[in-house]
Amino acid sequence: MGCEVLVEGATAEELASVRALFAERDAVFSRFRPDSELNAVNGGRGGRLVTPLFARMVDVALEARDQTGGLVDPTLGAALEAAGYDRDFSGLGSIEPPGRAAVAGHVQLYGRVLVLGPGVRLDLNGVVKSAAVDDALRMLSGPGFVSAGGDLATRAEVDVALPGGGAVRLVSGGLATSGRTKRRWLRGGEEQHHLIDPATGRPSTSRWEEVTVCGASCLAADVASKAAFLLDGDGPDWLDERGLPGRFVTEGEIHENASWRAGVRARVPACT
Amino acid sequence: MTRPPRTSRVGAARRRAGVAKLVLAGAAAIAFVASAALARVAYPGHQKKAVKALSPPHRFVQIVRQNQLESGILAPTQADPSVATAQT
Repeated sequence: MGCEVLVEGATAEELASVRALFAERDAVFSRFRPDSELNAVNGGRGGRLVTPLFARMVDVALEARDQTGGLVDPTLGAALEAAGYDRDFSGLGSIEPPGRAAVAGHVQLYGRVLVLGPGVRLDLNGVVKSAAVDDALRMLSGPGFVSAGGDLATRAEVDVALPGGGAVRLVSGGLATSGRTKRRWLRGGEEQHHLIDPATGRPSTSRWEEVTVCGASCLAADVASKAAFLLDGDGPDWLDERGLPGRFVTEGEIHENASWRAGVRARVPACT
Repeated sequence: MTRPPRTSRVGAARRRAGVAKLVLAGAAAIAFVASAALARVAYPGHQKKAVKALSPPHRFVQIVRQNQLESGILAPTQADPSVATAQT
């Protein structure tokens, strides 16, 4: 998945299982491996029978799309490629102008039969990595945490360093950060990044550089952080309406929403 | 007084038996259809309305889906961080 995976509290067998899990997810969902199932699906037409894992991730991605009002959309693969993110990040650097913008498309899942609309290309990486973190955490028999490139889920209290400085204690759930300052590149003189605004089919022009969200799971945190990023100035309130703590970084300034401030000011007792 | 020939008596008896068989068969068919209809109405396992899919109610699905964006729990930091969150 092109990121470092950190596991705390696992036995040797559990660690091997976690390693196998991430390897499997990478093999199935990578956009940059010609033999991945994702590329086979994107290269096909009409209905297609997919593996149970692939169907599950599509279902999760569609649920994320519903929950975020279409902000986190799995059908923006073509838009991502039009922006120039069509190869592994280390190979980017093209000077071609941005391609034609593509907007969200039609996708339907009937059990394991996946039907894509014309020209639709899936990009499931908005949910795959965080879902893998949650699945990996379930493999641990004791307290511990799993972090993949900074998206983490925990079963034990852990202190976490935050973007822009500072730290917070994650008591339970997951913490994820989305932003535009790490995976960015120039194309046709325009700065591009991987967070596509579904309204325009172009990289978002959100004011935020990085958004960190705490959710009940890594998946929830990841989806919410992407949605809050794309919502620009409405992001903090959108998170507050759902009781999700969010922390926003822009030009060296840090903005915490009310739920975040409430969480870090005094410990909130867990519901049991 | 002359008696009817034996063959005609046998024929009449056969006709009566045939009619009786038809009546009995008809009654049995009517009884079968009636009992089937009554069973359909009275037996609790039979559907009396159009079948609905065995899926959870829409409201329940909505609640569960909303809970997918449930918050985790944060607290003030108490030690040096052992891990960092960052964009990938």
